[in-house]
Amino acid sequence: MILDQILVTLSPYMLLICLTGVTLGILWGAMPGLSTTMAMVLLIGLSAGMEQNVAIMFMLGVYTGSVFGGAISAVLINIPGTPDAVPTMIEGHTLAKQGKGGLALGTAIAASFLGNWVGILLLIAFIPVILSLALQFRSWEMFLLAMWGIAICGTMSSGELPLKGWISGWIGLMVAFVGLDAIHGVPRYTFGSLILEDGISYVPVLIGLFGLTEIIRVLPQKNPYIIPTEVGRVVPPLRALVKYSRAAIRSGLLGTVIGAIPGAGANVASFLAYDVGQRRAKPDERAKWGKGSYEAIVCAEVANNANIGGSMLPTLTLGIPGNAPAAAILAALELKHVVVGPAIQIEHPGLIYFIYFALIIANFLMYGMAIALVKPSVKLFSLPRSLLMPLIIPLCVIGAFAVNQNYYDIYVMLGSGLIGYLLHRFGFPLAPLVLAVILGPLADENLRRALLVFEDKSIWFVLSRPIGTILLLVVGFTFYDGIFRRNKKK
Amino acid sequence: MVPEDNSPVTPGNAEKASPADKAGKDKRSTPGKDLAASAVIAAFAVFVILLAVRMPNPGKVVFTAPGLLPFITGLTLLIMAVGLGIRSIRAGGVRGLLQRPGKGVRDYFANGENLRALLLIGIIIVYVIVTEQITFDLRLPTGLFVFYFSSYELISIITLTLILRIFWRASLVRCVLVSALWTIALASTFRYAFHILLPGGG
Repeated sequence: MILDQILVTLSPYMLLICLTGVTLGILWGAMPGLSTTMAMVLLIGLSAGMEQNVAIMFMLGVYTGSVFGGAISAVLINIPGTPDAVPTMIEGHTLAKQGKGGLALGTAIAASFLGNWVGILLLIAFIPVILSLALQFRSWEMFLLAMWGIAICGTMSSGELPLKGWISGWIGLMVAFVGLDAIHGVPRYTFGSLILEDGISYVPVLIGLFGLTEIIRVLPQKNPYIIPTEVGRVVPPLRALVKYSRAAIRSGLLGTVIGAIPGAGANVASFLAYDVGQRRAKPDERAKWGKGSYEAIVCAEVANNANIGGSMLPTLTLGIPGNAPAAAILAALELKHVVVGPAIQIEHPGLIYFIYFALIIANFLMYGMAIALVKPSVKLFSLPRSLLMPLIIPLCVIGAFAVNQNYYDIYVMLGSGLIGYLLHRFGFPLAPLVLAVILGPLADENLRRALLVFEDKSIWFVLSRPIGTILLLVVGFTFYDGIFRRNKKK
Repeated sequence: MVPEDNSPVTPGNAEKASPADKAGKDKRSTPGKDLAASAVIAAFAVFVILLAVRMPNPGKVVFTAPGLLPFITGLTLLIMAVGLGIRSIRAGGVRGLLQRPGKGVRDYFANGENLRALLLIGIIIVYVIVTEQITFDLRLPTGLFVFYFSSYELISIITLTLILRIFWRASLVRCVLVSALWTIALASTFRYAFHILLPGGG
């Protein structure tokens, strides 16, 4: 079975599809303001017409490429293509100004390659463990897990005020409740509208919140950016990587673990690794932090790329996306009628191996394409955002329409974009809302099932389930930490 | 931790801001804004709770009631909104609102960037409505394949031209050319390469 999957991924057509995905991903990620999530959700439409394996290969290629792509504009023009590239920008652009831009970018490319490997290897090593654990999850545990995902996403994405992240998540839950209730078929929040009885699909919500909101926010701005004339040589410094191998492994582990936590994305991973890296660096290296440190670039890039493998862990084993791009992978799989979760090995034998190899191939292709695309990317950046952003609008409309071929989804996308803009204006993060729209039905159905099971039981019966009790404590701690963290900081 | 924000950091502000600023400080939040947001969210939560209570329960068992989780969610949302409100009042939100009533709204409309955002929103809303309302498609056999040109392409070209003319500020001819080439390339990729139906019937 494993050999079959290797042969499938190595077929010339698959390699070409993966190369296309990686190339599109790098170019997308390299464009200022166009995030990995946005690339993923908008390209779901493109993958909809593809055969299952082709779609997976394409989406994983886009994912791998776009996470790295953010580093190109960060180093070259001091504008992070994606939020997780901000630490790379701080260090890389300083180096670029010193005439070491090529070397900084080479370090970022090599670190991304290494980071992907760490994530993939940990994914391969831990999936069997997580799978066997996942089978122990019943309704109560699934409910708690969904709530923890929303709560921790709210905490980690909202800076100093987790309350705003949770409110955003709770609004997402409300959106998820719209439609016919899954147990009794009772219409909820439909206001007599038949079309609302189908519920609100999370794909147009995702496109609206991350695509349209970004356009409305960025296009009216007047902030021109500098276009570099010289990039310098782009050579991956392997010797430097050996020197920074400890930092790379530590950051890779951090990136993977953070990726495996539902809702925590690559931006959290890169900042955390950057922060930990600074604390753990030798004094002479620590002095360079913020003034152009190669080790800092390694920390940030290894972590955000290792995050890819990590985010696939809960996505594949529990059906809970590790972050927003993983949610887009989930959506692409759903379009192909692939239901991921604890029974993935039974219902789709061989699929996990295919995903492993697709990630490995995407990583190799990312490495090659990244080097080849650096100089053409510079030319692409001569295009102003006032030209680039409008071109994304029709893509948002097609992306929303392509899912179910109805106009209702375009209106959902539009509404989500406007609400996203409003929420952004008031300082509410958008990621918890999307995650809650995805996890809401899961939480609702499982809570009611669990309560039926617990109907005549005592509280000790509920607490006698170890995984459930641990999760209950973790959920409680997440809220406790979020509420009291601000006071501690003061 | 790091707030979710896709804001591109410009060369100007990138050098001034510390990594911590880039990582966490949220400049969009003010006590006044938070207080206003908490009031709206609290009202929304009450509305959600009332609808949840009125939902029918065919199972007659409270544990399977369709309104159970919506009720719990609404209630906790209300508590959170109250929490946000109390926090903003402590931070001087009421004083800010009372001393300068309507200032936030006036400031918003006095900012050119915000007015451009409103204009853009208006154009996008009209674009979406017109895309649904006007549907036609022309089919031109080329010998090799049938070339489609639907209402979606036409509406997209007009809308893109308008947006580019306002925000990109290039000549009308360039705006039309870019819009037409991009829209047709995009529509052709979806329609011919991936066999996906587009809005407007094509």
